[in-house]
Amino acid sequence: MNGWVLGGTTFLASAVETVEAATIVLAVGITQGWRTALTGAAWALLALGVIIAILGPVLARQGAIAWLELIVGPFMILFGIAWLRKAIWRASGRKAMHDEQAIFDKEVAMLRAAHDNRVGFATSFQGVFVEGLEVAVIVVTFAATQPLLLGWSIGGAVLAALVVAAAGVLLRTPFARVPENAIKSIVGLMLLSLGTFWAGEGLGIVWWFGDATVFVLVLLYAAGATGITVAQRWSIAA
Amino acid sequence: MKILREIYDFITGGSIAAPIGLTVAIVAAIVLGRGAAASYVFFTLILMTLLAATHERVT
Repeated sequence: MNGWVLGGTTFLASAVETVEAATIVLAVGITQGWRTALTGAAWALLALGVIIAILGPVLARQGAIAWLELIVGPFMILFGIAWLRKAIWRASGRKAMHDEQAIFDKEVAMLRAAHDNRVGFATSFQGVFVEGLEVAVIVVTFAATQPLLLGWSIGGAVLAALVVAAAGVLLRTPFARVPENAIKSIVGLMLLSLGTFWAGEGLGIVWWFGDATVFVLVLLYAAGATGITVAQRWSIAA
Repeated sequence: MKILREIYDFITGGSIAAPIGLTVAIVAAIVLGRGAAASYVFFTLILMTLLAATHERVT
């Protein structure tokens, strides 16, 4: 498996989640001060780091063995379907697009009413932890199936978090223009394809083109997802 | 109960079709064994699961 594939997937997944977390941290920073916002975020990052630092190497030491792929693969499939179906709903118009500005306004109103720094700390911590947990799980599961590429998956996630955080510090506004749904679709497709491949290997399936089957699965699932999106658009328009 | 529901939603995104479809796909692959048919059936059932999950109520 190519490190760029895993690193790219964790990069995009982390970018989407960091955009959402940054909106919450930004709201806390503006209403209750940057010290509260950044302290909450830092503790959440520390907690996520501990999860990855403990579970990542433990799973990576097991090596890519069939039973581990059989556990990790289905998780990836479920995560992939969850990401992809949300993206399909939004692309077809069944669900409203993710609106960072609206989320930001709602958080600001809630925090201004609270008048308590502990609420700001808790909001910042929870925002970063909840959004980052999914990325941490993805990184850890990648470590289980591709132990030699652990650095790539951690690197992708950390790099995206740094890029988005730096952009947040510079812009000081919610990321309303990020093509979040397109990124979510790509991450969903990658998780679903990698999950199908690994779960299949764990079950003893001999895939059509070896490791290259992942790219075939991406294309097939992309075609399927596009078809579902178009069909749902038609059914809404009818 | 609430924490179990949160864990279920975290893993499945709140979908009922996804875990059921995935279970059916895994059982089918086990029954079919290592042959070429297993790979096609497994992939097709996962794709059907995605289709079913996208037809659930919007959460």
